[in-house]
Amino acid sequence: MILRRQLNNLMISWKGARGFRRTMLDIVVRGSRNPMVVIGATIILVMVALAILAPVLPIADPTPPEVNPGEKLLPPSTRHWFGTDNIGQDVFSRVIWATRVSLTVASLAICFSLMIGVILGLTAGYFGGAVDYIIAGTIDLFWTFPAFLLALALAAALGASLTNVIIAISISFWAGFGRLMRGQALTVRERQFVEASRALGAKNSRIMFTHVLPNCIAPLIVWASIGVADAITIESSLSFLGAGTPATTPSWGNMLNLGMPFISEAWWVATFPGVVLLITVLGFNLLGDGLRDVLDPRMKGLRR
Amino acid sequence: MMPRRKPIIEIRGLRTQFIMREGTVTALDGIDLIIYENESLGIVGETGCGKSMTAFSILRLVPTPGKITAGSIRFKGVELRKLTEAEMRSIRGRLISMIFQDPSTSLDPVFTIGFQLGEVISLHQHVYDQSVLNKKILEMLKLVRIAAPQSVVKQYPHELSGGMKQRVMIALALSCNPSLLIADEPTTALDVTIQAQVLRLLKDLVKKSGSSMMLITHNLGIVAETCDRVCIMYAGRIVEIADTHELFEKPQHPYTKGLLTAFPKLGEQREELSVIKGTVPNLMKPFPGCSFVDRCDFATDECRRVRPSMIEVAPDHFVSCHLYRGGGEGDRVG
Repeated sequence: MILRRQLNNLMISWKGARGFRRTMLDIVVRGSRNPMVVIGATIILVMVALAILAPVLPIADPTPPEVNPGEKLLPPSTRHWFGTDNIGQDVFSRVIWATRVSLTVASLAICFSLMIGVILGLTAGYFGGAVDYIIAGTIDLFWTFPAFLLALALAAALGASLTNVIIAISISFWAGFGRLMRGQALTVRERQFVEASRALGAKNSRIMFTHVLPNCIAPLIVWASIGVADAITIESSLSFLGAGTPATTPSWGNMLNLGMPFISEAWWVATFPGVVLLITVLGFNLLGDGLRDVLDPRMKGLRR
Repeated sequence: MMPRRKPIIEIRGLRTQFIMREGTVTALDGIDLIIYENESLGIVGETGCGKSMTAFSILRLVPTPGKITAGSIRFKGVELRKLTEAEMRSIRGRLISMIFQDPSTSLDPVFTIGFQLGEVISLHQHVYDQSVLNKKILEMLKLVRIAAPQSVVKQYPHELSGGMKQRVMIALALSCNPSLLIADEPTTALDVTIQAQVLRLLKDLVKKSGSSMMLITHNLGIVAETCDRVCIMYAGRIVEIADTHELFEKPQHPYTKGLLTAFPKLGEQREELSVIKGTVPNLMKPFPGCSFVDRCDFATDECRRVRPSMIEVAPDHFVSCHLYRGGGEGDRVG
């Protein structure tokens, strides 16, 4: 009975989230007028499409079962657009497959960081007092470590596997979201509509998730976008150092590492993954920066 | 004179304090107040005298580090101070509702009006069917005389004018037909022409639904127009309670008199408005006597030492002042 009531409540929140959906639509509409957002979003869309379509694209097998000595270190040509590497694998195909790995790892890691950061930051900022003291302290503790070093240490300790990379990045990133969320919650909880909904009988969990959180969504989106760029960089750095994605799975970091010894004789092996990595990271950063401009409350007057 | 009616809320000896490292601020110092069924009571006083704190104490929403330290609040015979937080939540918004000063910040900017009304209705009346809910939402919007309820349902707070927003707030507060509506300066943030409309609406709706209203304001004009009884507060204490008419005609407490003379009347030639000299006492220091003593022209040594109790100078007219202790000595003042 109580469960059904909760479920109904949830349904109504979802239906009422029409407002929330409109906010999202509003972001898209205003974003489409910002060149940074447009360029960033285009790059990301292309990369995501390539990542998703990798298995069906007419490209070579990124990890052929046997080494073909005749195909070793071939320069870019019409047959191998980005050339081949030292064991005769097609670089173009590997770059695309690596996109799949990098984007998955980065976005999953950011999702987890967001979840942990939002829940802890919201709790800390909303309740304040001793709860805040403990959570904010924990956040600061994690925040003091440089994200990359922490991720490196964790990945090294956990061992090289995709899951471990995601865990390592999540642990080193959540504090940033937690800090942001806490700060936002601290300001939003002082606003009168929070007091008004309390006076109308709403309980804390409802106020937190239906009133405080949706009012903090804009900076979270910006941070998540820039966070994905950082997560991609860290994933690649870890893989480059051999602490990230296992060497058998193509990833940009692995490929950079692989191509490094031949950089003078076969520049294409390391350069192409590097360039694609750069473009992808640039895409997310552009989107994040552009969204920050779009979502800036001082720009709200230009809405219509 | 009003006949004796059933009290809806009875406050006895309510004391709300903010206990901080720097000292204890006594925001409410022994409030005794009764609001009867189907009446509107105005609470008047200057900033910081405890008007809003009385409201927050009733709802048990005193902001930290504030705490109710003594007294009792009985709502329909139920002691609110003894209820659990969950029981209190089911009272807020359903039996006791509140309207805030600034309508532009009291509504959540990211949700539509329809959603926010629906949220309160489903929360307290457990209505989950969207079509029933929609009907109720429209009903409420019509009740507060919003011109185009169909379109307002889909609008966001920033798309409405201040007066419209306050109407929506009233709809929110009245959606569950509360027994007591607390309106904390509901018209201060609105412009004057809208103020009158909103007040009339509030008064009508409260009368029609048979609820009681506690109207907090610092504007005596609003009280004169809207309330049946008035309660004057000063420095966390109640100094005078009377029928509105009686209070305006025969103010007894020196502070009430000061307030009324500081208030300009239409068609009256006056060079300067009179002011009450001095400032509000520091609420951190406990004072044994009358809180108004430092600003009162009639203060005696006794006023400094002994706290005056409530004296009924006329039926239903209570004053907290030593000047009236003997009874019928009111002529001594002014």
